[in-house]
Amino acid sequence: VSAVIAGAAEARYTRHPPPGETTERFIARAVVAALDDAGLCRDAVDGFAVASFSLAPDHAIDLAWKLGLRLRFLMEDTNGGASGINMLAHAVRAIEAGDAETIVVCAGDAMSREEFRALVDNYNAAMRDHLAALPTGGPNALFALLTQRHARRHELERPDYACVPLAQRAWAQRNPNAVYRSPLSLEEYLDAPAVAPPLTRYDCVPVVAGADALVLTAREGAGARVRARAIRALHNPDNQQGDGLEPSGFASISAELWAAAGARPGDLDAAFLYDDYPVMVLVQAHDLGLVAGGDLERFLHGRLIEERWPLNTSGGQLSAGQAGAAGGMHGLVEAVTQLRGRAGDRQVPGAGLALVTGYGMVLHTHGACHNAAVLERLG
Amino acid sequence: MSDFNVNVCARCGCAVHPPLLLCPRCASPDWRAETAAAGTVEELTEADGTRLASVRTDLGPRVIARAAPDLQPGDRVALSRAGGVAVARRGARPRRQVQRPMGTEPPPRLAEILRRFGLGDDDLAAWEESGLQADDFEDWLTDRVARQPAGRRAREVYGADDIHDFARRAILDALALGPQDRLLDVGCGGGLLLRDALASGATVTGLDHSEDMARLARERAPGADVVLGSAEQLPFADASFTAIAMSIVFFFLPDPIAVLRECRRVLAPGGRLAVYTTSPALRGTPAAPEPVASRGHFYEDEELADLAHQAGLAGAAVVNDDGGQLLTASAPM
Repeated sequence: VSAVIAGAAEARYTRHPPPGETTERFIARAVVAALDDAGLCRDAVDGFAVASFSLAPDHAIDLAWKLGLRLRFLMEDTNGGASGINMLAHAVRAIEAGDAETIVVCAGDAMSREEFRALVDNYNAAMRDHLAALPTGGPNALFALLTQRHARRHELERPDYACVPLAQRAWAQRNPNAVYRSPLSLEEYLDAPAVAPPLTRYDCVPVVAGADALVLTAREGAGARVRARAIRALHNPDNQQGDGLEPSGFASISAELWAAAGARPGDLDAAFLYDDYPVMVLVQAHDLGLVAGGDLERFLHGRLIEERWPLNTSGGQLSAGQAGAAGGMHGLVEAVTQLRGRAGDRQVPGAGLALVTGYGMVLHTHGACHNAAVLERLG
Repeated sequence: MSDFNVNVCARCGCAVHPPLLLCPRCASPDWRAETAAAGTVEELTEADGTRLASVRTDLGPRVIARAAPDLQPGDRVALSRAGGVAVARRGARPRRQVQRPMGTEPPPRLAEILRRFGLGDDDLAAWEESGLQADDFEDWLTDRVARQPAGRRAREVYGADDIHDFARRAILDALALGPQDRLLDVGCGGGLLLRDALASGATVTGLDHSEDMARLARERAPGADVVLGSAEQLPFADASFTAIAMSIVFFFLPDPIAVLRECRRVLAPGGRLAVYTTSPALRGTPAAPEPVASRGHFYEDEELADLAHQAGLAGAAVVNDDGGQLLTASAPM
């Protein structure tokens, strides 16, 4: 038995959800749309996986109840930006082991400003006990420190980091579901007010409400399908004792990932890297072998800006928005959409092989969860 | 306001922050609190009107601290805890050697040697990961602490203001740099000489063969050009500089004449050279302890001047101050 991804959908992200909108309603919309995309009805579903920061006091089983799902496989994932690929891995293995036949994997969040603040201040006990009183305003300040460290080490400056949000904004202009679609110039980027120097608003993901869902199945079916060639993960590689940049968890899984996928970075048609901050896009691109000769400047100004190489073609979270835990699924949904040839104006012609990454769970100074999947179009 | 404490493993001495359950290094569950009184500022930012810093404590762990407004990267800071967070402000004494208690592991002899050099668990781990044989240990140690410094401890030592400050002052006094000067510091280490030289208005370049040091020098002397490379083959065109400094480096050169010839080549006619090194009188003292001492080269004052002469430099002179030697010479006109 082999598991394929037969459907993908996003419940449209929004900066300001109307009153009465809830996390579970966003998730429900994404689930329905993904099943529709897969051409499967609700009764075909016998597995369910969900990630969200704002379901409490409910859990996965409450959602299953409210969605009317009768399940042989059920899981809830709490690993933030790494939850999407983590759930994907579990779902693929469960189907291939015969535990379930059709699994819906979903994630979403809709939080008020106050709820978001409470989330970041109580992200874990370490944040609550050691950082929340500062206040740091969530991870922005921590990634500002990491960005400075990275900039000094690689001799990069703000116009270099700008290439990531600028290139992604150009893609977002062709994605009707991105929350930020207006053209972004280097001047606007450089003039933007600081959030936490050197980071400005364009370096930080906009918080939105939304949800994403995938459908995995062992069933035969029509239409283009996608398979995970390889999935690899590494969590807590350094006990937060390292500097957050090198070696990253991605550097440690890179060789094994590519070997398992039977592919090389040069074979990729597109990549969907977890873009909470431009610096992490660079770390991942470099450590997973996408930066030719390790030349970050050429990658930024040449590959992304001049060649418009397809990285984060939805606009990424930086332009499309970060809907809480759905951030860990946003790249997966966009990758599947591209591989199935359904990306509309932003379709990458002939997209056959894609890399997707997940990163997250800042424990104290940097993220602890790293994973990556190589996806391919079947047929 | 109270002390800022970190947890230290009661068995192997590994320090962590925030508190963990099992020691990341030896898996022991037993901890004791130790005051992390001081550290070095790595980076600074400001969010929601709060200035904060990543501070590397002298005990090892990083902490995100509320930062006093006048702090800069590289500053030494005193740490305390107030209002539920760490607070960093100026006023820490220069870093002293932290003697970490060691438990049953690592092997006591190795641990003892490392401790004598102020090295800790991460250095031991680096040795273990190096894959070298026991016979190589003294060479490795010499590199680690002095010849090609690497690791957290080396970055702290060579980034601290008081490291080799006597040599730095002697060299800069001798060179008397001005805005028209182009200085090369061969073996620039943590970059403090570069930093001080920039104050003269000179154009400043550093060279080091340690990646950690080159990186540190770029941090400490943001206006300097820092290049990774070897003193034996200086990666610069002829007559590129008007002055060359070499601080506590000469001792390690296997072929000093070749290096001095290279210096002569990249110096413009009349360019000045100032070298600070250690005389044989200091062999085996804390200034040149074993196993480092037997891996270096000591020269009497006359020998030192003669080396410069053999390399084709003019006007070589040596001043010996209590065992510290300052060699000055110049490129022929």
